[in-house]
Amino acid sequence: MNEQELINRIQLLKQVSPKEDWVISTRAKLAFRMEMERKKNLLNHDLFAFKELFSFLSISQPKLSFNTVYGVIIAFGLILGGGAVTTLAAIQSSPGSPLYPVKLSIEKARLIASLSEESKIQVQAEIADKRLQELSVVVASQESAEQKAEKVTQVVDNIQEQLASASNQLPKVEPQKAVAAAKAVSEKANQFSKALATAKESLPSNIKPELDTKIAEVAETAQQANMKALETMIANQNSAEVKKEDIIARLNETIAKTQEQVDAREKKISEEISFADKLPIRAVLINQTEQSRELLEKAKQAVLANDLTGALQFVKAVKAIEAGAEKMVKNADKAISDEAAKIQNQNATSSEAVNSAK
Amino acid sequence: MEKFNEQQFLEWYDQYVGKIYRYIYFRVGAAEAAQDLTSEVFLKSWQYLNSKGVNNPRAFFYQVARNLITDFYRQKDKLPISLEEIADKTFADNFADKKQEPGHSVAIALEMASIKKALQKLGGDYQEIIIWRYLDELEIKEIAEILGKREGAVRTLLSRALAELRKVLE
Repeated sequence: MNEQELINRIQLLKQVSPKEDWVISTRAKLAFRMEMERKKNLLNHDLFAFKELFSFLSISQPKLSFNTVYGVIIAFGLILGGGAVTTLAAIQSSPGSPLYPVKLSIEKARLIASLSEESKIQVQAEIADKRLQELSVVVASQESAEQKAEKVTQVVDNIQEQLASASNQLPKVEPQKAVAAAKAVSEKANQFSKALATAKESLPSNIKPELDTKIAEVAETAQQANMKALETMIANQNSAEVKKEDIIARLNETIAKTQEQVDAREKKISEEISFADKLPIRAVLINQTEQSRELLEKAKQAVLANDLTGALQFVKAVKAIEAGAEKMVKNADKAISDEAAKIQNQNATSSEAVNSAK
Repeated sequence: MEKFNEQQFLEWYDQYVGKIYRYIYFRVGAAEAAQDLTSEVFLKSWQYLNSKGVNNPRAFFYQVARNLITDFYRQKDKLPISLEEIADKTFADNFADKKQEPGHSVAIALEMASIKKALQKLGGDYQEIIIWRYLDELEIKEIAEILGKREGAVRTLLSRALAELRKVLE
């Protein structure tokens, strides 16, 4: 047995890991202990102040004065009681609560402790359900727009994290379970997209511009998750777990949605930057729209020809073009003003040249 | 020296709990004892480090774990049944269930049990250096820091430990 063989044998033992429930409960205990320490420090500080306040008692009635031992006993009683209550409160907490980050942290621990990618996706689905429920409660609440926006931001941040992580785990899931996992990810991504659109509508548009950007980012992440799910399903199209009709329906839906995006961008180009119709940026954007339409047509043909992998590649290419074009449209104002200035300068230089020639 | 807060400490927990558990598990040979000691490592580390900084949290956790293992072995004789007895009974069972194909899983579980047994026949220094280097993938420099030895001495120790393990296995 050479050294490498020996090392390989030793490394088999890497499979030894602690039990998931133990990791979670120990983490929770650790978090409570930390909180207890913090409370103990606060309480010690308060007890000292309290003792100082009633110091006259120790002068007139020494037997009734604060005894350090009693103080510590009371402190521990309060801390222990408080710790347990806080734990329960953290698990039940909702966005906006100071304990909400603790809840997210406990969920994170559950995810880390999940041994297989499949169980990770399962835990993520449970977390996703909680976020959807929280989002609907926030949207339906009678709070002020500012308060709502604050809470929605907190939930949206976590949603993005969950979606990105779930779609990244998809390729690692065992082939037999990949389709079920992909369907679960896709379903959650769609639910999130709908919930976020509702949340956005419930808030005034000027309340928090960065929240709008965030929601758009999450919608993008949801789309990417959906694409990854579709990719996984197509890669496993011969498995018994997936029906070809289901994949075709999903592909057609994706093509239709992508088509809507291309149309929306085209409209935006004609409405918002029409005045700059002689600028190169507009020509580039129009050219990209044409390319996207052409590729979408090819995707439709590929679906009809039962070439699902090919169709997916065409849709992915359109998505890539659209992502680039979207950035260009966002930066169009600046680009347009730069180009306009450049043209003006060129015109001025030509006029000067003409004048001086005269 | 890196300052940290509660959140940071919990992130360290997430990052290192599996490795610290595994290190302790192979040193003490029983899951329940490894769980108790691993919890203690993090609780004691928090109490000690609270409000202080730490340069290398991973090395610090291993140092605390080492001290706790030493204490544990001082009390070992008080246990009603031997650790080896407890460990051997459950180790192969734990891993035999996890895989898809029963034949394959049993073979792997038996192989793991034989390496574990061989590892436990080594001295404490040899055991821990093999665990750190090949299971937890610590750098030689980091092991030297934990042991308070020079890197050259760590390399020599590691090579002797491997030779000893090979001898036991063969």
